[in-house]
Parts: sequence; structure tokens; C-alpha cells
Amino acid sequence: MSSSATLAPAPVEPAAPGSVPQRRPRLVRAELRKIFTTSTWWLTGMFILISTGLTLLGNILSANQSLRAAEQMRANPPDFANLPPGQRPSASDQQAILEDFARRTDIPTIVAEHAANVFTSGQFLGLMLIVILGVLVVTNEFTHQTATPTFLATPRRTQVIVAKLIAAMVLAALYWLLSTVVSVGFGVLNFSLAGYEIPFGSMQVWRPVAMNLLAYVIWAVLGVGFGVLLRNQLGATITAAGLYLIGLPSALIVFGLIHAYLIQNDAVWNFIVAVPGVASMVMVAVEPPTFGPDQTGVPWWVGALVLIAYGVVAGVIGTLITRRRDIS
Amino acid sequence: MDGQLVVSNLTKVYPKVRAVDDLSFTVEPGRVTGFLGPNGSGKTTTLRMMLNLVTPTAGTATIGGVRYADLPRPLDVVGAVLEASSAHKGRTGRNHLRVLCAAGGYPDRRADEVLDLVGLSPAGGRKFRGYSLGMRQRLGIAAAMIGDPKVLILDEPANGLDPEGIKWMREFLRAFASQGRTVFVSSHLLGEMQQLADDVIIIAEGRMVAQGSVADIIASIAEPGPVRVRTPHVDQLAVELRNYAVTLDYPGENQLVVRGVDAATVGRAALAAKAELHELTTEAPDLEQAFLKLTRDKAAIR
Repeated sequence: MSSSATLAPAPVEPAAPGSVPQRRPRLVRAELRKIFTTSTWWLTGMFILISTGLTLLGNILSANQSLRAAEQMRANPPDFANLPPGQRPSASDQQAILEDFARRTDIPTIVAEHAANVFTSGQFLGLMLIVILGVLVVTNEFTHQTATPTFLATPRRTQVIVAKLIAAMVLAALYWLLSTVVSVGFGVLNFSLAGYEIPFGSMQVWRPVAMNLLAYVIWAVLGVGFGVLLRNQLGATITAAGLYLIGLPSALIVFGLIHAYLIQNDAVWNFIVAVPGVASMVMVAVEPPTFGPDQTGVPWWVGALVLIAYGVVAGVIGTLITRRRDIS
Repeated sequence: MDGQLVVSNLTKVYPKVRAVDDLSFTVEPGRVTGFLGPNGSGKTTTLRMMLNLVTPTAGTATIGGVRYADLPRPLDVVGAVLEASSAHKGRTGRNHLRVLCAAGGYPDRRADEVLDLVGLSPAGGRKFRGYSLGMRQRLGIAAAMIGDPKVLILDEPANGLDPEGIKWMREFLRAFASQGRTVFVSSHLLGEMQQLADDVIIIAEGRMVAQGSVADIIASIAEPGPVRVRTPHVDQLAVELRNYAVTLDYPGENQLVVRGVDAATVGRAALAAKAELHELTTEAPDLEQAFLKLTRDKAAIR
């Protein structure tokens, strides 16, 4: 394509001096604009919707199946009076059986547990997409050589990285909102149609949803950190996604070896939370997960702190590197 | 703040090479200053150090007395065009400029104004992927003009432009300088530079070779200009001229341009070669000749 054929004659007089109004630079807005002016935003949104939709379907089917099973059980309560006297359990056993029955047919609790699961549908793939988005926010600048105009407009590079971190967090929150609106919308519809009341006042329902938001935001920060550390787009994407995906299985092997050969103390298992993927899992879990035999569960906030620490370390090291790096 | 550029003892040492070696010069406002040097002589590294993109090993560069990193609103002072493809392939030209408007603190309508200024408005809604090299260079100029700066710094802006694009660029830069602003432009197109620049700075192997007005630089080499010869015996004459330190060009049939010796020497060589001469004229020495003499024996690739 020839430039001359498609272009109007150009005026050669530059604009008169002093004609440009002055405003404060808006770096976060510039960073958000970089995302919303390419296909990245709707591709990410589409993948989030697909992963949310598919897992939502599975979670809703699983919830309905559990509720149906509980209803069936509830229709046939244990009736000790009909048993022949010789086969009747002792009084204390009868008590235990009744308690177990009450727990298994406690519909509101079952609804609450499944509601938490349904309302956080799509989390597993969603977090991976978000960490990749965080990586792209940084590495796009080097892949497309836009680092030069970016750092010409803002020579104070720390400000650019901070703006990127904030923009990535805003984007993560928006994608969390998208995923949550879809999951909560269809989830509430499903439970209402089936005639169940969702315990909206219960923290058991809302804490996982809120933790999901925190997970989205922190993985976005981690993505930016990885992007700054390894500015090679492919390398940073694979590293970040890999750390997220193969977190638990590989960590279990490593900690198994440590436990067997180095520190033969069962408490060592709890330090598995130091692995980012595991920390993320701990943070969003409905019940504190346990690792290794006879351990108390690792509370959610430990996972959150570990992830935040990784985000801060990656961000600080990345910023220091970016400040010194030659853009050529 | 005026737009004078001052480079003092600027040095950049990479592990295997001194890319820029104790370079000092000033660039004055109201003039077009050309920055010349063979490939790999350190031009791009120097420009990037002046713009805080590359950290100098030693020395300083200031714009109106202030380092680039210390400019409160850098785009108000300096517009730079460094590489022709500094935009996301999937982003439209207008959106590329709007991103920079937000980052620099300018209203969005500034994007349309600078598109108009460089004649790129009809293509503003098209993605950068589909831009020709000429359109990419114009988009680079548009980005540099967002803050209506006092200084333009350009790295090889004529690279890949067609003759019409080069003419447009030349007129644009001359008009900019005629308003009392500063233009500092690197290039290896010497003929173009001779038409465009008032002053030139010539470097080689990262070191200063010559600086001054184009006329002074050409006069300083004190060498006769190229000798144009018209002869039906080009080959015989060329063989004879090999005995002298000359460079030869063959602009057309039966024509020869000899650089490095005067017309009398060429005439003597023609006599010795028994070559029949139809024309023997001395032309004015040009920037290319001065450049080649000044940078002779400097390695292009280090």
C-alpha cells in the first residue's frame, strides 16, 4: 500500500506554540486504555465467560444432585421402633445415628456449601487468565516496542509500573465481577426455581466470593511482577501459568521428600502453603484444607499473606530492574 | 526554557564495546542539525541516552539545561521519533495517540489534531498492522507533536520513505526549525542531509569527528570536488586510475565520477590510458565526499 495514494496533502505548518491545554497525566487511565484498545480485553472476557459457564453448569448439576439425595434420605428417617428388639442399636448409638442423619439432611447447610461453590464458578481457569493478563500488561510494551513512547511520556519509570499494577488490579476486579454476576445470577435462579432459600446472611456464602476477588487481584499483581522480571512474553507467560497450574502436585512431591529425608516432623507439611498455587488454593477454600497426617487446617489468611508477599516481592524486584534497564 | 541541547562527555560502555566515547556537542534552536556517522557509530545510543532511555556510563545530556528525566512534562519540551514501529499492531493509529494523550496529560482531541497535522486523519481509524512504512513514520511524528514541543529528536526518519515522503519530512522539519525550535536528526542519507541540515555533527566509533555548518565542514576538507568524465573508454581509464587513491562511480554509459584527485590528474591518467575525453569537469565538493574523507579508516562494525 502506498502512503501517498491514501493520504490527504499534509499541512507543513506545526501548530502554534502554547496551544496545548495542560492536564495532569493519567497513567492508570493510559494503561487501561492500552488494554481496551486491543482485542485483549474481549478475548479475556470471552475465555472467562466460557470457563465460568462450563464450571457453573457442572457445579449447579452437582448441587442439585446433592440436594436431591438429601431430600430422598430425609423422606426415609431412621425408624428404630420398627426394628426387632434384638437388632436395635444401643441408646448412645441411636443418638449418633440420628445426629448423622440430621447433619446429612440439613438442607440449609447443604445449600450454603454448594452456593459458595456455585458463586465462585470458573475460578480455576479464571485466575490463570488473570495472571496471563498481568504478564501481557508489561510484556506487550517490549513485544510491540511501545516501551519507548511509554517511557518518553513518563521518564519516571516507577510511576509506570505502579500504574500498570493498579490497572491490572482494576481489570482483575472487573473480570471477577463479570464471572461473579453470571455465577450468582444463574446460581440464585437455579436454587430459587428448585424452591431453596439461599442463606444470604451467611459468611459461609460470601467469604469465598470475597476471597475470589482477592485471588483475582493478587494473581494480577503476580502477573505484572513476572512480566517485569522476565520481559520475554512467552517465557513470562509460561512461567506464571506453570507456577499456578503445577503448584500443588509438584509441591506435594517436594514436601514429601523433605518430610521423608530432611525434617521428619509432620508440621513441615503446613509450610506447603509457601508455594503460590497452594497458597491461592488455601485462600479460596471453603474449609481450611489440611496437608499431611493429623494436621490442623491452614487458615485462609495465611494463604492470602503468602500470595501478597509474592506479589510485593515480584513487583519491587521488577520495578528496580525496570528503573535500571536500557530501553533499546 | 530554550531548546538548546547540550551533551557533555557522554560515554556508554557495553561489556565488549565503547559505543559512545566522551562525546560533547551542542545543538542550537532555530536550526536543523544533522547527526551523521557510519552504521554502528553510536548515533542511536547517543540519542537514547539524551532521552533517558539508556543510562550513560558517564557524562550528561541536557535539554534547555534540564536532564530529560527531570523534565516535569517531557512531551511539552521534546518530541522524539526513534523507531518506525513503536505501536501495538492491533491498535488503531488514533487510539495509539490517545493512549499517549492520557499518559502525558493532554485532552483526547489532541490525537485528532496531530493526526491532521501529519495528514494521517483518513487512516486514524485503521489498525497499525495495515500501515505502510511512510504512514508509520508519520504516526511517529504525530506522537512527537502531541505536546507541541520545542525540540524534535529523530533517528533515521527518512528510512524507508518514498521520495514524496522524504520531501514532506524535509518541509515539515524546516518549517519546525524556522519557528525557532530545535531539530536534531540522525541519518546516513548524506544527500538528503545536505539539503535539510544547517549544521552537522559527524561521529565515528563513538567519538566526535567534526562539527559545524554544512558549508564549513565541506570547505574544511580542502579537497577538490568530484571530477565528472565523459569518455567512450571508461574501462581503460578506470584501470589507469587504480594507480591513484580514488573512488569511482559509474552514473551512466560512457560516464565516470572520480573522487580523490583533481581534474589535471584525471586528464594525465586519460592521456596515459589513451582514453578519448569528451568532458572533464570539476564539481563542487559535497557532504558525502567530506563525510567519506572524515570517516575513512573507521570501522563500520565493531
